[in-house]
Amino acid sequence: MTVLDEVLDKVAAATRRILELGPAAAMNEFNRKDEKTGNKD
Amino acid sequence: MPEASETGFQRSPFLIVGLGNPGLEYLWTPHNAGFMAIDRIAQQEGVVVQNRRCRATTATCRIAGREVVLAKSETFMNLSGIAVAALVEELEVDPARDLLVIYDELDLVLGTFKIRERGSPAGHNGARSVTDALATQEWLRLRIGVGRIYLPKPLRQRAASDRAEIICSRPCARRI
Repeated sequence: MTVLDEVLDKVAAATRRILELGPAAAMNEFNRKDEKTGNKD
Repeated sequence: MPEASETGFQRSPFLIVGLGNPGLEYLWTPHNAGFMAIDRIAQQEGVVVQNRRCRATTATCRIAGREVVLAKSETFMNLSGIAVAALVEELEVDPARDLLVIYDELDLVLGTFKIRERGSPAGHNGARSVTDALATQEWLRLRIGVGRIYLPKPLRQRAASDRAEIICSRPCARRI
């Protein structure tokens, strides 16, 4: 599985979460997970 | 058209637009990550994004009980706002509440993504076009990282060649 292929599944899951619980909940769940990668924002 | 909710009020569908460039030559490029995301969501929902409206291809499905319109703009990236604004108007969508735009982001590490409720286009031509067309930065966006790879230090030297291989492979091929 390629990196991009894997992230597309997570993007689909995040999109579903936005619709289920709203953007704030989705951001809390998904924006935190990649802190270790060094993304600045 | 907005759907009737349980309370009797008309509720707009939720619009999800992926940005990219049309044409086979751009199909598997990182800049089309937004298109790939829409195709992945459509695949999981069992629909095909093929209806043409408002200078976009669309499909309708239901996610978490909500009517959702999936769309891929048929304009080139730098004119994406034309399609987004047309869809927003036709579907009577409030961009601040009922719109999600998905696009690639060079400033994010490959394999990551970020969700934000507002912000500047930060040099992305598609995001700039959407902001200009909607006359607001208040729209939800999901940016997919296509930038540098994050690797443990010993592996970083291989990053350049690996990155080309990873990005240029066909990520959705196994599921089509």
